[in-house]
Amino acid sequence: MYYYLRREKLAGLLLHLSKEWSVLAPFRNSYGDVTLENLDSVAENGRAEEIASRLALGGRTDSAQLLSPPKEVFFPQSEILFQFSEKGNGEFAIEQPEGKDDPSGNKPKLLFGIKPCDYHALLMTGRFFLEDNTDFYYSTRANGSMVIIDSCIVPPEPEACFCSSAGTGPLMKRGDEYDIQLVEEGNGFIVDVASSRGEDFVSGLENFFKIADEKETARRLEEIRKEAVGNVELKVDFKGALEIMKESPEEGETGERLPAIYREIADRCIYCGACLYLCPTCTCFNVYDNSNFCSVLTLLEEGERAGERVRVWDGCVFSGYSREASGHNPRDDAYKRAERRYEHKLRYDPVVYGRSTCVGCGRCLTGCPVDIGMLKFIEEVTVGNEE
Amino acid sequence: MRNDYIPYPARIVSARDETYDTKTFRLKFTEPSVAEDFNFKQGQFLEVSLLGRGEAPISICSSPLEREYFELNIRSVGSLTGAICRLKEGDILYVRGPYGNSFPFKEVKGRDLVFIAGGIGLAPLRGLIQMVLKNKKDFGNVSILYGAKSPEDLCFRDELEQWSEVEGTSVYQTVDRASDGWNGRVGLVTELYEAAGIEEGAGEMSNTTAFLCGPPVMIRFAARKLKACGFKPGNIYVTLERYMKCGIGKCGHCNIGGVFVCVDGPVFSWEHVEGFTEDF
Repeated sequence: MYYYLRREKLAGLLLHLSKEWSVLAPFRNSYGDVTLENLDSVAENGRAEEIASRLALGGRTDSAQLLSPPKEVFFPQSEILFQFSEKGNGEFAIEQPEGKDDPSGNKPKLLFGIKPCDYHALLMTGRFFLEDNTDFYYSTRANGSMVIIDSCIVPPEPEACFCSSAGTGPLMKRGDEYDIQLVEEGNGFIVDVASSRGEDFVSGLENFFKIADEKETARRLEEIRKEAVGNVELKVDFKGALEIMKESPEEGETGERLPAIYREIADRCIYCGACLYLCPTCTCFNVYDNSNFCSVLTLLEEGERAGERVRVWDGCVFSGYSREASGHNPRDDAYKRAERRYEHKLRYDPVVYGRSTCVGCGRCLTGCPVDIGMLKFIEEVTVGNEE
Repeated sequence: MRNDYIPYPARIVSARDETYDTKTFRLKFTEPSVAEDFNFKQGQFLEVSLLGRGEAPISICSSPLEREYFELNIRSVGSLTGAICRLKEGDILYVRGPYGNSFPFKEVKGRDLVFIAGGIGLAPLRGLIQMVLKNKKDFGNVSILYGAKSPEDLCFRDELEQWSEVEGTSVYQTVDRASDGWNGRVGLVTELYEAAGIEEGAGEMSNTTAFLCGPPVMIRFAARKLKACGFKPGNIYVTLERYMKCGIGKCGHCNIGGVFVCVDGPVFSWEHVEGFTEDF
């Protein structure tokens, strides 16, 4: 069904929802960056007025991209897997964090105002972590969560957004897998409720969501969609790139083109890893121990032998990523690491998961100090392809 | 919900020096329920921790038929394995797993088997060799081809001797560099092929299955030569190693092209590996 939500009701709605949910929404900070913040930390300071003034919602009048992708809500940059302390006899007591380190506490998370590209990315990371050997930590943090999409009518980063080419936006379509999307219209939002879970969510919230005319709203949404697609001026031949990547790098014309592109990227990349940290679907991590008896540098207190096992984001562009203790490193050559980054997203994931894991958010380009990014790569690979 | 990242304490029952830098640890989980539930298949590996120091994937080198303990063969190469190799009987390691797929066993009954190992690469094959030799009547001829850098680098020397005494089983050894007192062969492991009846132009080896483990460069040469000697790629099994952090297909480190060594491997048929577009 379709509903309408007036903008002036937003802050009240979020505060109301925060009784049951840990509400995470895009807020603009004093530097102008938009980040996903927990409503509790915002509301403490200024209640409804502060919420309304800092909230960055609305795909037309306040179309803003989250600085870092929402994956960090379920897969933080650094998290403790468990803590250990010696209990004598050479054995350690192992204690799991059990969500104690989760700012949301025990409440399920409501991600309110996620862009369609980031939402598609969450579907992908969710599948990756939860299917086939469920990842305990991702699963614990994501348990019971829900996402409300804030679709884009105007692209937040016109120089970098290419969702319409990647097939992840700018609006969701009925038949896609989602619960609720907001589409800015007039002084508020069309609320497109697409699943029974979404209907359950809005029921009881009649004070905020007013039923809208089904036919008229569907017609208007279609109009907005056409306008929004037209507004994404950046178009790349995403499908063409996937076709080219299917071929073996040794064969045919691409055999000459791809290695040259990888070599140039390898030469220009400064291996800072920004593209991987900013990528909403990059999920690689490293694991290390921090203890008061083995670590060279530690902030842990001295005393009985104790420590923690930590996992942190890692990335395939780093030379140490695949280096083994013996010194053997199958990706010692920077060329191979450049190749890996692009082939993983555009060549292997389409085979393994049925679609590319590039969602066209453009962050790898906007965040790159030397102007490399998936967008540029796709453009170079498909040079000469017909429009 | 089960948390795959939590390791369990296992006590070192015995620690045997295999070479100057390699030890074989016999272990048993301290909690009876964990020990009871612990089942593994030939070719699988464990994530082994020294808490505070770190964790690494180590293949199980004992036979799954042995229920009382499991064994790990560990070479001191880095900070973690160096510290593990300083442990003694009675000390504790933390262990989780088993992970990965396994070597075919029932599927290769009735066939001749060739095991080709380089250095510590004998460890992942040892459990399977023990299983096969315990059920030798179900298999054809067994050849074990083993190479190491020097005589001092050869592991499981007593066992190699015992294996060679089993009927229908031959053991061939070679080293890259001889030292005083070495009367055996000097040369690459592939130079043992002829003695084991593996020759170019001798026709198709349709009733023989080969199992390989060793350094990547050895695996590549050994597998290619097997192919040249009439082995179908589908009858060559290799077990691969890769830097790993999770063992369950999440951390990304062991990716080769579209596969994870930890869950899609570590055992691969050469038919599969030949198609890899990345080095291993």
